Amino acid sequence: MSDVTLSVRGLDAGFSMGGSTVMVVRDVDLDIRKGEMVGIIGESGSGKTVTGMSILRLLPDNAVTHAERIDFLGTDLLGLSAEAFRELRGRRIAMVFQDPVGAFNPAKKVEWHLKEIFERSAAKSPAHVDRAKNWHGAAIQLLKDVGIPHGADVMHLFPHQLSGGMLQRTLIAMVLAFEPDLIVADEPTTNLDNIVERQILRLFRDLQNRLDCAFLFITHDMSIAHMLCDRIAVMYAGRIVETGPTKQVFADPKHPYTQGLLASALALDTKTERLKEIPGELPSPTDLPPGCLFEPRCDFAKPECRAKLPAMSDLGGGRGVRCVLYNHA
Amino acid sequence: MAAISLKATVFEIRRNRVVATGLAITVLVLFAVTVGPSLSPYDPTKMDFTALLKPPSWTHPFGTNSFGVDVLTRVLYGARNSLLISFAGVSLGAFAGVLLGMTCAYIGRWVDATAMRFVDLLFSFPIFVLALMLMLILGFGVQSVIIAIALVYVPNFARMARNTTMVVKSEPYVQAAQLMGQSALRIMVREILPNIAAPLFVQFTVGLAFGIIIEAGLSFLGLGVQPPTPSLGVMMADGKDYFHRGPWVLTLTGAALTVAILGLNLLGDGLRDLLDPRLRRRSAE
Amino acid sequence: MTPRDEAPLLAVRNLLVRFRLRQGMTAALSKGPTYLKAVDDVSFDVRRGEVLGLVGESGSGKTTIGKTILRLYKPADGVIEVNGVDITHLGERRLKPYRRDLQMVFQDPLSSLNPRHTVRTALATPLLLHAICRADEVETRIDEALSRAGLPTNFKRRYPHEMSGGQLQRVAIARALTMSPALVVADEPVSKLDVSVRAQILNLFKDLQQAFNITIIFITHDLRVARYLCHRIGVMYFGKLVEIAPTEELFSAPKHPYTKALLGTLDESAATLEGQSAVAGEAFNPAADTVGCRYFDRCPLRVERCRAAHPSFEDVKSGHGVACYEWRRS
Repeated sequence: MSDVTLSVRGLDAGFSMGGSTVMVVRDVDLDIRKGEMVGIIGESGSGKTVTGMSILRLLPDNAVTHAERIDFLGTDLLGLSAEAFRELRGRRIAMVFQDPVGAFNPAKKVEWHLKEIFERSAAKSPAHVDRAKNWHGAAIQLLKDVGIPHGADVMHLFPHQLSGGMLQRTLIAMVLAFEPDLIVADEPTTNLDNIVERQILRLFRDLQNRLDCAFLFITHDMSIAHMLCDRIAVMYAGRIVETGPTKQVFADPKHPYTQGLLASALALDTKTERLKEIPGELPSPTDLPPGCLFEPRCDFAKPECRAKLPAMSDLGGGRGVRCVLYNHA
Repeated sequence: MAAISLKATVFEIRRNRVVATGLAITVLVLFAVTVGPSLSPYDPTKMDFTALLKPPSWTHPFGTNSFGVDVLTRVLYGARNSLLISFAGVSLGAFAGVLLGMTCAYIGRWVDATAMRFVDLLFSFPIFVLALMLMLILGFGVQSVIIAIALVYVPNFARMARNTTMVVKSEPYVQAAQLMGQSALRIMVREILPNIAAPLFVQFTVGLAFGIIIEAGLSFLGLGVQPPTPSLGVMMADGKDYFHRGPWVLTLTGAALTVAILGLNLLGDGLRDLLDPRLRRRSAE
Repeated sequence: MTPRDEAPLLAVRNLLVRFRLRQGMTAALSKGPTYLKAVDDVSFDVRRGEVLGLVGESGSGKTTIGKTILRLYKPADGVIEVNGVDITHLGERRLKPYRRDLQMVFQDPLSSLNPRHTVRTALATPLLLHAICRADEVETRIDEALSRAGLPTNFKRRYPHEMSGGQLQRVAIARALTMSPALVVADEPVSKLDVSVRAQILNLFKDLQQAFNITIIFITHDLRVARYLCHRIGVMYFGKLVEIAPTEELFSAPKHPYTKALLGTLDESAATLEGQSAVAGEAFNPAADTVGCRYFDRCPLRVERCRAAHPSFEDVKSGHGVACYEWRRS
């Protein structure tokens, strides 16, 4: 499996607060291949964002992270010094967040941002050196590719003069220029209106087809994951509870939580008289249930569910589920 | 805006050394000025011509002054008076300032604009100059010092109360109170005030320290508390005249003043960090 | 489904709400308009027992309409009538008897409850303020309100930060209902909630609406949520109401090109992503003083006269109105 760009095994992450440590991500395994888009789906507090941030080492100082292994293109990320990691991130990994404003220097115009990326990537190959020399034309072309026809005008604007959608487009143009091996996007369309959101999602798909890179897409929105991702991992209370190819998971969800989520999220697509509810609330990371995390809310809960956390069962075909109902092995 | 649980607060105080030190000093000072005077065998005003300007000793730890009165006893009584005057002044200033600031924020428009320009005007005077001016208008004496301190603090509290009220006023829970039909006064007291109290409390603590300085300054110049009633300012003015023969009167009184102010300032600064959610460590969610 | 031939509970006529963009000296010195028209010439009725959805993107003015109807904002022009009484310009004192009838459930459940008050205080305040029940009945009333909203009665002692988003929203709903209001404005009440909790709250709205025949204005950006709960839906675009119709009719026969575009985003199949135009159609700038149709720049049906003036409302048929010159072509 040499085409695996990012491989994570046994990732734990948490925060130390008030003298004790609260773990919010536990035992996460993740593989993303070249040209593949993997979605992490979860509600707030599920640990989906912390998973992404801990791989990128972007958590605040009081965070605690450990893992058995984090491999990126054959490099062991755990062994890298902070400096070496920053360097690697700056050359190979692009990040897109919910709020694109943070990715821009407010004092610099759009053209400065694009130019900088072209110059930074000039070291990659002789072709990139040429491209950096003619960066202006290349930048306008890229802006056109992301649906900004008047790129030459936009280049002279400051970030605050652009709308959220335009900023996210510009950021995608910058990612295109950057040509990373891995893109991590965390809820990149949550602040956008429905129609603009659709356009931006389409751009993400085009972007990935063009760069043929690995893409980690973090979202709470089932329908977005459905449209975009090749594979998904569903997180609940800090653990992955189900994983598999998107089409199969949506067509035939195995974990009761995934089933409930799909029922309550997608039932609205058609005219319904009554929505199916998942009873109860999300557990707090300081007060997790003893056995299966979903047991208190689960329709299929049995006494054994309370005894111990079920292991991930391999269902074949790349599918896995953490539930006793499938624990045949 | 998340409310802070008592347990977390206690933990933060223990971790935050600034608050802990400030709190320890302040508690010590409060203990000294409340219980201290009754423990002293001496009278703060009774002269003893057999023991004029005695240096510090076991019987007089801070020495005696030019009238033979025990300096430590006078410091304890004086600090109590200074603190009381400062407390009265800052309380009055806080009450008037908060009332003014909240009203301005709530009513808005020309009331707000006019009152806040007046507050700006008061702000543009150096604090001590302002206090001196007020003293000249009001005449000398304890009451005048209290009013002077209050007026110095009105703009501080007014501006802070106004700005925080502006923020809280647009919170949905205030709108919900409006929708219930609660009166403006009730909304200000019940809904807004508890949520802006924390920064005001910090301001109050720091204000108490500067109030002591203002009192001491004015009394030092002879405009405030009149001798023989002890106050830290009066005693320092007194000690200044005999500095060459009895340096302990001025220095030890000054040291006591410094300790009290340091304690209150540390406490205020620490509380500011503690209560400001932006400065608190980000917690996981 | 809804009672007809009855005077509407709420009538909104030509409502105009403006927000000041610049103040004082800045306003005098800078070019361009000083005001932003958040709601521009909007009229509609809400019948008793009806759930009217107001759908639009952020900045469309849907929340502003809701808050203006409840008199949290002052309209610059227009009329708001509740039960035939014009409340548009009533002072706070004369408004008080109507306050009880007009309640709101806010978007962010945490900030809609005072962080310093317990649930008990939050629920007792309206009961005592309006003397809805005797003082010795308050506890029973609070227990009733909580269980109606699906919460155990021991939640009385909790503070807002001790509850989850879904529980907070239940308390907010319980609080609004203690006053037995005639009209509830629900402003995106589920958009900040987790997916697994959202269905619970939507079902709670549905149950309570049916049980108590409450009239609701349900504000949302999500057409699917609106379809689930609402009898009629109004679509807003930058301060203008562009289309209003019974829910099923809006879904089966939309007339306004913007409504169609919104409905187009509902298809979840991956194929629709391919059909999306990737070109950024710049949205209308609400701060600019445009006179023409606000959807002009994005509209596939636009013709020259759309530039001259915003189209007025026309009836497609009874109960279905649209603000578009070219709706027959669609």
